[in-house]
Amino acid sequence: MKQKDDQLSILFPLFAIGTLIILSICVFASYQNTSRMQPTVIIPGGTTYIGK
Amino acid sequence: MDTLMHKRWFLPFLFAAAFLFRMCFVPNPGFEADMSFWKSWGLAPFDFGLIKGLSLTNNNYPTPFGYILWVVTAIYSLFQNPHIYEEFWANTNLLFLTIMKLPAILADLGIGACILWFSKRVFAKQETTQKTGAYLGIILMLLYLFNPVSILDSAVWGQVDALGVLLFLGAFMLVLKKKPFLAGLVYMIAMMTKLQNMIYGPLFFLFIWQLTGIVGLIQALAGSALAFFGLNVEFLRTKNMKLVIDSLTGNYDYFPYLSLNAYNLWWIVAKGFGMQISDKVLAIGIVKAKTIGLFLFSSFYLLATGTMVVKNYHQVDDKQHTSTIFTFLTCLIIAASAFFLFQTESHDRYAFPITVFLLFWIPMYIKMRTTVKERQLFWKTPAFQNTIIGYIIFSGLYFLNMHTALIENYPKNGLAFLSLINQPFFTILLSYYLLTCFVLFFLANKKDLPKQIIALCVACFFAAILTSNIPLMKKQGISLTKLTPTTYKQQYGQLSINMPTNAKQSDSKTWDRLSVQYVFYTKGLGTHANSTIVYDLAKRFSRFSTDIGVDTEAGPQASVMFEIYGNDRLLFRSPLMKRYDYPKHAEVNVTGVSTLMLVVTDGGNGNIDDHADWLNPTLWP
Repeated sequence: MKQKDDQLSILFPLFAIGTLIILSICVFASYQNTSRMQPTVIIPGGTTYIGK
Repeated sequence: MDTLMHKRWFLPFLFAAAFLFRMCFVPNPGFEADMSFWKSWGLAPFDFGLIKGLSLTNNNYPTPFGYILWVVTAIYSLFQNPHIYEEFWANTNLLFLTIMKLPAILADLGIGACILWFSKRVFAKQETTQKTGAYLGIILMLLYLFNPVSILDSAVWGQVDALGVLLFLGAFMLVLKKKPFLAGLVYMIAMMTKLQNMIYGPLFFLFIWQLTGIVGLIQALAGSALAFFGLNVEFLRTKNMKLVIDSLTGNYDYFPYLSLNAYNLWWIVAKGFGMQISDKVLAIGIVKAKTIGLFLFSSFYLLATGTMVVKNYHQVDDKQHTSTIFTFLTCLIIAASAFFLFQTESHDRYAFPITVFLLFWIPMYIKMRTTVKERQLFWKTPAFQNTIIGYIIFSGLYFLNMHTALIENYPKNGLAFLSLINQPFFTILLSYYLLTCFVLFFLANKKDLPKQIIALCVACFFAAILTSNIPLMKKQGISLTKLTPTTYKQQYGQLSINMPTNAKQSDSKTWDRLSVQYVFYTKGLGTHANSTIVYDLAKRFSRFSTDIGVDTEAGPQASVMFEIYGNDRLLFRSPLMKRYDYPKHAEVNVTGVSTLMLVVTDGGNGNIDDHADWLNPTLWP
């Protein structure tokens, strides 16, 4: 039982780190994906300031 | 689970995972119109300071929110120049998307922490249930952190509802900590960040009174006043408080439609086209939809307030104020739900706070409905299972509401396969489901809601409807000035009620009485050619009568013609009328007419001096 507990106590942190790494890769991929998109200039409607 | 809970890395891991998960969606351009407004409302103060900046924009948020956007733009300017037009205003501006969405994302994590803290607090006093609080808190926290609604609002859409809710929760927790001055201060900051927090004000201050007494209430009000003037000190110093007041009141009637993609009662009434129908249409008798919505919301708010007062008066509470806190949270959810479901002009995101408040209500509900022994195996209790299932169902339905609103405007920024829902049949069905969720919540709490208060609220609602319709029931003439146009436009000035166009009662030098060739009237519409004023009659009337003429204040070049249309069919056209003509009378049959249109044309010679009046316009049932 103690051996099983020891194995689990190592696995949980590994799982957590693995999850965070995968999520980080997804974040990076998401940013890459958007950076390749064709941008469109979106100006707010109505009378408002656009800095020009 | 016990082993995991006590690992130091467990909670940080959960928060990190929730944060990174949201960051995956940050590059999504979101609700692009809102993002472009953030840019504009931040760039103007960045360039000119807050006061001048606000006057250059159509910012309709409370004035201190401009500081937040100013800071966002300032941070952006550290890395990129916000005056590089194509780069800054691009919908895929990753830097701006990241900086703008971060506050709401961090607020989501803060809300998660608050949920966990609160749940632990609810069960803290008894040793046997301390684990209950921790386990339940983790479950509820995860239900929020990985709730598609919160991810959609903060990380995808780019809105700041989470920030407003977090600030309100901060105020709530300060009340629990018996710090009323700070609670009032933080509440005002919450309200001046997200104006929707205003609707919780009366309930919140009543709650402060109940928990901390009259002295606590005074302290809270003092804190709120300090925050209000502190946040607006620049406006106070430069005598621009009118801008502040306008920002707090200007949103009334800003979007005059039955529903702005909120799947609620009015979405059903509009048959799925809430954004295409004015909320000035007659709904019950001569009472317009907007007024009915206000009556309904007021009735539920009266129920919430009355419940808090009556329950506090009658019950003996424990030292943790369990009943008082539970009643407050129940009433808060009722008020927030009524605001979303029963008012016109409701936005799709207005139910967002409910997804948070429910997660504070659930642990209180479980505590109220279970014994100490049952709480040790809380996951087996019907109280837990029913509330969690109900919450998940509500969140799923509400996510579909918000998501459909997003992809209706920006199809590429959402989940394409869900666009199938964007049809009246499904959206109306969703509206019924969301209303049903509210009814079920009501029924779950029915034994906590005093029957006499419910009866009073129902009576008040029907009394308001009946009283407003007395003239119709008595078949009396009803002045058109009592109705509100569904639309109107005129080429010069503003439509005035019971005054000539552009008259200002506060300026005694301005002619402010309706008259034609010095024949004076007390009721009527003051307009200017070329104008069109449209009313919804809902086929409730048989006759329309009015006097017409050029107002006495008009210059000598005035010449106009008056036309009356019923369902786009011409019913009356006046001869050409000029400045010195006496008023003429018009009377038309409007039986079966849904839409009455009053048109003033310029007589063919341009609209100079064309101040025109519809005098004593009266509808007859």
